[in-house]
Amino acid sequence: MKKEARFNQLIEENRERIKRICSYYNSNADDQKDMYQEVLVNIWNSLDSFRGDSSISTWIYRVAVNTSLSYTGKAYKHMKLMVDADTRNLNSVLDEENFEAKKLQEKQLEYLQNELNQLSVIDKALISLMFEGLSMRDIADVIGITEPNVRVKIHRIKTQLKNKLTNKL
Amino acid sequence: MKQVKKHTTGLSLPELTEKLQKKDKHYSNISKRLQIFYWILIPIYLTLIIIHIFENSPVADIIGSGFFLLGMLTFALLFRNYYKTYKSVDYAQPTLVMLKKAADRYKPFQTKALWALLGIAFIDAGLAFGSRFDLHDMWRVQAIFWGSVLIAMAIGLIVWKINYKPLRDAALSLIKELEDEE
Repeated sequence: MKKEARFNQLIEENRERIKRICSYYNSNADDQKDMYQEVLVNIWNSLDSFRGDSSISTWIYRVAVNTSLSYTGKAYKHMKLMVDADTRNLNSVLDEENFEAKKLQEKQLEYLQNELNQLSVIDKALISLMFEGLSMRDIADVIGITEPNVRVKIHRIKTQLKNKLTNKL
Repeated sequence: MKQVKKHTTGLSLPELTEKLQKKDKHYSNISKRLQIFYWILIPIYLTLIIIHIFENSPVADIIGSGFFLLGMLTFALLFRNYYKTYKSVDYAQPTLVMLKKAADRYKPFQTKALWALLGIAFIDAGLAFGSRFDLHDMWRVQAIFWGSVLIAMAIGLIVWKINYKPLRDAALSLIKELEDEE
């Protein structure tokens, strides 16, 4: 298959996934669109190096996360992680506490959003992959660290978030 | 990359694909231009040196031209290497690997910069052998030559500090954060 056809097929199949990752990092629709385009550019540039060693979704996540780290350049520290009520697996952070979920969801979301934005850029990347429902093994593959290290980091982030949310609510 | 981003904002997929193909073509054209340099100019220069040998030109001129040729060749190969390195940034690598490569790429002094010094030394040797300066003028020429090299290096360092040091610092800090808790 020609590069152009492979690229188009890949984008068609993963459009929503890429858009979702972009939406985590930008609240502004134009910025999301810009980052989406940049991810596409980087997918195109890296397409020749894809040899099927990892699954295509892991590969796409790598390109998207790496682009997000490079995207904002010097201002990367100010990058925000945006979540909304529809964010998949958001409950993986909230569910373990017995909050009255429906009543408090809005308030929790607001607090969570605020706390998520206090996280470091690496923690934001890790948590965004967790929101995407990736396993610890897959997150380790995307980021390039060991699975136990991912577990430690995610556990630390979740504990940190839960403590802060518990104190506030 | 920034240039591509500016022009691709808001494009449809087919439009973007077309832009990307054009960009690939642009890289390929640069590569072709470099090949013209390697495969046409350098052999021409080599032929001229050979002609000088057969015309019984002074040995110093021939040696000087030989050093110039080596200098040109060194810079041509170095330029090709840099071009390949910067063109082939692979965003599909694991994040930690990509960051380590970026930190390495943006180091102020790289081992391959020694090749640039070798190229400069060849050109200087070409200058020394191929010129008709007396000893006093030769010292002056050498002082100007190496002074210019030092100024160029200082400008390079300033450019690095403004443009690349922040990127390297950011990459190093992210690597440190990723490798913590191992």
